[in-house]
Amino acid sequence: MFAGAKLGVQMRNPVRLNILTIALVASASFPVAEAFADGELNLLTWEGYADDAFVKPFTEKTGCAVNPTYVSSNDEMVSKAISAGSATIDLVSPSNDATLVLIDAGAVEALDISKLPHLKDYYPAFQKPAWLTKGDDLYGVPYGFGYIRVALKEGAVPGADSVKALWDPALKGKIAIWDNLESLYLAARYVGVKDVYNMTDEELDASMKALIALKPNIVKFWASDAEFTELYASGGILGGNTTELALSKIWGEGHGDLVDIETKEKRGGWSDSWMVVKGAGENPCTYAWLDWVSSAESQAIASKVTGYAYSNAKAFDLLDDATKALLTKLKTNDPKVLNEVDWWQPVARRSKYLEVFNQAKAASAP
Amino acid sequence: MAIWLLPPLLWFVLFMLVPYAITVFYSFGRMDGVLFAPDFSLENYRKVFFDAPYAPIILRSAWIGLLTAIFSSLLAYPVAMAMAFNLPSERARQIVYILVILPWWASYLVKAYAWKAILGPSGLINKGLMSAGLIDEPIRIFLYNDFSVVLTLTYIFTPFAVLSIYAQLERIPGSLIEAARDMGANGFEIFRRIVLPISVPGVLAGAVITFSLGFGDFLAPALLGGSDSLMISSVVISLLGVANDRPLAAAIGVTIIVLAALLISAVNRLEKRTQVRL
Amino acid sequence: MSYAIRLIDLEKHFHGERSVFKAVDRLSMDIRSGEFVSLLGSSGCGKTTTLRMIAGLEMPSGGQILVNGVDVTDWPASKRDMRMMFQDLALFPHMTVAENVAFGLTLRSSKPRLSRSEVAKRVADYLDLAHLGDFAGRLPHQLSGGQRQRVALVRALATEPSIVLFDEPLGALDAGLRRAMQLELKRIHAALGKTFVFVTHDQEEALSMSDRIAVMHGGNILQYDTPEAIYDRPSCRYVAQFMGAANLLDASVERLEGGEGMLRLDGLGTVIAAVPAGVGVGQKVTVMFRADRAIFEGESLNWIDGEHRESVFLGNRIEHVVGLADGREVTVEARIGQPGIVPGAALRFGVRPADFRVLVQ
Repeated sequence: MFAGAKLGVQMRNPVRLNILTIALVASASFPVAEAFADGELNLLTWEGYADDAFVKPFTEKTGCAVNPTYVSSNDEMVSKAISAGSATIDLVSPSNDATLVLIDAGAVEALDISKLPHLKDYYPAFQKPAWLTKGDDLYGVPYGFGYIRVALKEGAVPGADSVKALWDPALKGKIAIWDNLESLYLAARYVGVKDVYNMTDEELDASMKALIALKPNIVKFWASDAEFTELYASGGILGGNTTELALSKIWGEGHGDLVDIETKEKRGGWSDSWMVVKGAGENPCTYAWLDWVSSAESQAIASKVTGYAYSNAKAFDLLDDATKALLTKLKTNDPKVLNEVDWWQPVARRSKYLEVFNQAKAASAP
Repeated sequence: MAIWLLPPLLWFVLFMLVPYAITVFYSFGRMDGVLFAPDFSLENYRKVFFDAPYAPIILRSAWIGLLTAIFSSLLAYPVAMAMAFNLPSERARQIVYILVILPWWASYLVKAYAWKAILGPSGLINKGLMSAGLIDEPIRIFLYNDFSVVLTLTYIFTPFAVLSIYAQLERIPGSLIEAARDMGANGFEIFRRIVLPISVPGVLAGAVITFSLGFGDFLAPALLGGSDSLMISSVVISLLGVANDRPLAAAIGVTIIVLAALLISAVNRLEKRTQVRL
Repeated sequence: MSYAIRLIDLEKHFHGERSVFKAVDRLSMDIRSGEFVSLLGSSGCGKTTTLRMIAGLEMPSGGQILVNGVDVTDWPASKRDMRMMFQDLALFPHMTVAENVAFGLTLRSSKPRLSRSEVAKRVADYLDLAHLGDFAGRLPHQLSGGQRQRVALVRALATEPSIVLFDEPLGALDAGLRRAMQLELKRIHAALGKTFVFVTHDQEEALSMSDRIAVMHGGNILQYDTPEAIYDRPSCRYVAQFMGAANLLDASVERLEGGEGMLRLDGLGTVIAAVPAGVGVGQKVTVMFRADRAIFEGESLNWIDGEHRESVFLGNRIEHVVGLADGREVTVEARIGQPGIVPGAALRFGVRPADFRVLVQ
């Protein structure tokens, strides 16, 4: 819950609604196929990505036992995947700011697309995303995703259609900003930087100044969805940059007046992908897992578990009406919007970015 | 060597010496991509001392720690005095003692959240002021700034100061106070000329503890701090969690350990100089 | 006669959980100006509480305290014209000897208000008086036990109060040093002419220093008199026992004639002794005689037979323990080489009628 514990997905607040029911329905509706006796699968992943609700049906169907190890950062995943290898880990699920690191390091293997029939049901943005592609090869199966919103109370800044609204003097002491490098990207987009993941020193400096200029408006750097929710619900803020989970929670609590602003600037997005550690493709359970987690059925269950949107477009059709309405309102099922997201990339100068970000945070408001 | 020395020695080696050695080792290295590469470079220390924002944030954390120590001592002193001299019975003393340490039974987070609730726009203070008709709108100056951070740290760490000062005051024989009174000293003179000078080592010991705890804290600034309440522990956490820059984090750690050791040895000397034999 | 201190029906009650403890119970006494009075008794007798009430460190539950004719019962300690020397001396550990002595001279309430140089001079004078001049700059823990005692004494005297109170301040000293301090105190008392009130549980200390001794028990005074009177004519069995070396025998009065009476000692025959007025025939009394009053030759009406048990050599004399016919033991003193005393053999001793004290229970 603290400053950037994990770059990719900050906070996972599993929303467990009727998991059991869904699990039962799911397991009943899948015919038992060929089972791999005594198969075993080692996952290095985020909490919520190996939930019993969809792991149990998988094990019943395939006979593959699943041993998840949960990590709290991409770095942990990357360094373990590189140093340990397929002897101890079969699959990892890093987010899009780390995937290329693994691909470039040769720690993961290219996928055999013929074994992944569900990919054709994916949103176009996730069919062959840049962060999973090297040459012609695909190196990962996209899974949960989300993108970062700028949200403001209705009428707080009339006609707001840009991140610039956050800098509006009317919001003095009224916004909360994510304690995450994403907020530095936000400032970069504000000053017109094109490639926010590869900034020059001058661009970083300009972004820092923009962030410092925003400080009079910032009452708090928030660290968790719950914190942003609490701040807004208590009337402590009028908005800020936030996540889908916080938005849906705030709306769910009856504060429908928080508006998800469609900014002219692009918005940063995270996307986790299942990647196969080099050599693990030979484990028959590996592709069975990829096939299962890329299916609409499993992603519909997962969506209930974590509250995130998932990459298979058909998963949406399996959701209940309330969830459908929510995701529609959040526009996570709109292929056009997803194509416009400025998906996160590995930042080569992460230390420098963080230094600049901390410098901005430490600076007193002008 | 006596066999009973073995467990503490093992403990010391495993949980003190080895981690310190690892931290020092890391502080001279560098990151090669996501992997650590051993090296012998002072680059990380150069960054700590000369690159914004590290040194200023260390100073800032020290300032917060100092305020915590000062306010804790000021708050703790009268309580410790009352415990040592004014309570009518041993029973009353024990009750106050328990009341002082009672908050420790609650988790730090609960206490910090409690202050958040008290200081917030719909919290106790604002509601009280509003129902008293003193204000129409909630005042926002109580929460999300250094005031709320120092207040919370002071609240949480004051018991350390109370016990430390009390332990020293308790050693003062009642006859010293009576002798001073007998010779005509008034309450203030007894305090200023007898109690205060003798209590100095206890105040110093308490101040070092509260300073250190305040200096190294990251929860209070994270939960109750404002947009510029960044403390060095949070920076270390982000260096590890966000940038994966373990060498720089280690260099900051070593710097703080050295600073803390210097401070503690200086205060120890001062404590020894001011400690009286009763 | 002017009284430095008058205590009238003084009471101090301490309240426990369920009971009230009367530490001092309707105690009255007068102390003359310039007198050296000891409050003597075992622990719990109320002597220290009485002293602390005089000092103003303890508020009485009832009664009055008059100092030089003025009712000071409700006055705080700081206003009373007296200083106390504490049992643990209560030297300020963080102050030098000179600073300790100067303390009482440099307070807002100090009278007269002295300049810095006057204070320094007064401190130096008093330190010289107690031969402490060389130790002015030392801290208390750097001094010997005897030196600390003297600093505490000088600190109490330096403000020149008319009354000095002592709460068993010599208790921690070894016998030799203690004796020297007793003499020193007596000398200082004679030289300064101040009123000294001295609390002790040591009867020898009280006997050797005091003008008068108040023997206390159960929160009140049993006897208040000169040391000689208390030693020779204890008013009751408790005082007699407390003052030491007293042989006590139970007896009943058989016959009275003039100031004398014939007393029957239980199981030992009869003796003739001076009997105080108010004692009637048949009354149970206690007969007391001191070991040093036993005689072994010459004329006596009262001979008591017993058997020699053991001897204790005391330098210039010997104490013999004698077993009586009823099994009890008494102690008698004899000069060295006294004929008629053979270890283990029968022993007869006499006590003159005037050397018996008849105590009413």
